[in-house]
Amino acid sequence: MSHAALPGRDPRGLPGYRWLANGQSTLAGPLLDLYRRLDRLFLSWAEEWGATEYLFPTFLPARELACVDYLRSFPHLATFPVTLDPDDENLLAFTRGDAPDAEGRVRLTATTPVVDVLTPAACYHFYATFRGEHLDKPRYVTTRATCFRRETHYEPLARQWSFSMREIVCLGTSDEVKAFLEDGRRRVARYVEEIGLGVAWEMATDPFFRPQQSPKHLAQRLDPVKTEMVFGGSLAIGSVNFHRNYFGEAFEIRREGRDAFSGCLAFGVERWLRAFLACFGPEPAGWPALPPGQV
Amino acid sequence: MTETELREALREWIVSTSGRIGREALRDDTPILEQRILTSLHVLELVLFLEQVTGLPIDVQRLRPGVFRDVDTICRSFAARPPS
Repeated sequence: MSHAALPGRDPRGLPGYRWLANGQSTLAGPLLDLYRRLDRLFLSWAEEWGATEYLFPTFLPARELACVDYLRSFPHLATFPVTLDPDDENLLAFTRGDAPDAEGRVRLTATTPVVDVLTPAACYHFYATFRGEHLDKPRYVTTRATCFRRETHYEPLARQWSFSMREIVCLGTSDEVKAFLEDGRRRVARYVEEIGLGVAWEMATDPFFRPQQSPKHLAQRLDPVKTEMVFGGSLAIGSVNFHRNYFGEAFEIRREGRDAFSGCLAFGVERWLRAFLACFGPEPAGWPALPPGQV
Repeated sequence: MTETELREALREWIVSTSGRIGREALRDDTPILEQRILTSLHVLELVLFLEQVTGLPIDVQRLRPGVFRDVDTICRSFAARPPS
């Protein structure tokens, strides 16, 4: 199957860049510096709301995601950590196999039960962390997570099996969250206009499994909750998402006596890199001023 | 069915289907999907209900964003409409 290339600059051949066939990127030198500076920019926006920063682990318990029906809605995207059954005979049988074979495939012997999922979206960690809490004021939080989404094909800095997502999240009343999302959209729009990064704002839906049969997809289409920042006509470099009180209800997070509402600003850091390279070129001297990167 | 009859039937259906809002709290401009008074699982049921009470088929693929926003919008869209 062939796929049209996504917009932006293909980074292969640039100093410090290495593309791996399994849908992952290695960054060093100026590109790594740009990656850090972009993330520092997003973090500076998070600080405007006084957002507390979190660093989460790579795995999420599958039962936490079950609360929001993730594995039924997005089974095609999920990636699972798998380990061998520690029984000595089982491990011995594994070592006697030919893993990996000539095609690089590892034939597993008995495995332990899979109970975790590799993080599919950064903000899920927050709802699991705040489960059962009653919020006495809106809560603003941020994190950057390595996210994993299995796809049918990959493209450097545009569609990757693992990629970095920075999110700024608000939990509160419906009005508090909507005000946050409107402020956030204005903040980002002002920035991209200032630097001349052409972005269109487009309504979108989440990539549900079998969307034509999905009631959730139909509901999102009829009552849009996701607006994407689209570069070059088809590369979504970020999104503004209103979750209504879906996560508040699922994780029993309350605000003013009701299920909390939530929303997030999400930034795909690698995709921002790709858009920056297309718009401003590969030379650091041509890039817009950005905050110093974090080490 | 007149718009008034549809409005009344719709209010009753939302309250009984949702279980999340009382008859007196449901206003005609209450955003029923945004407030998750009806969830995504209710949307197809709503389509079937509207087909039943209006006697006209609904092409789900042609429904526009916002058409199920609130009682007012639904009534304007589906009362005495021509067949789709």
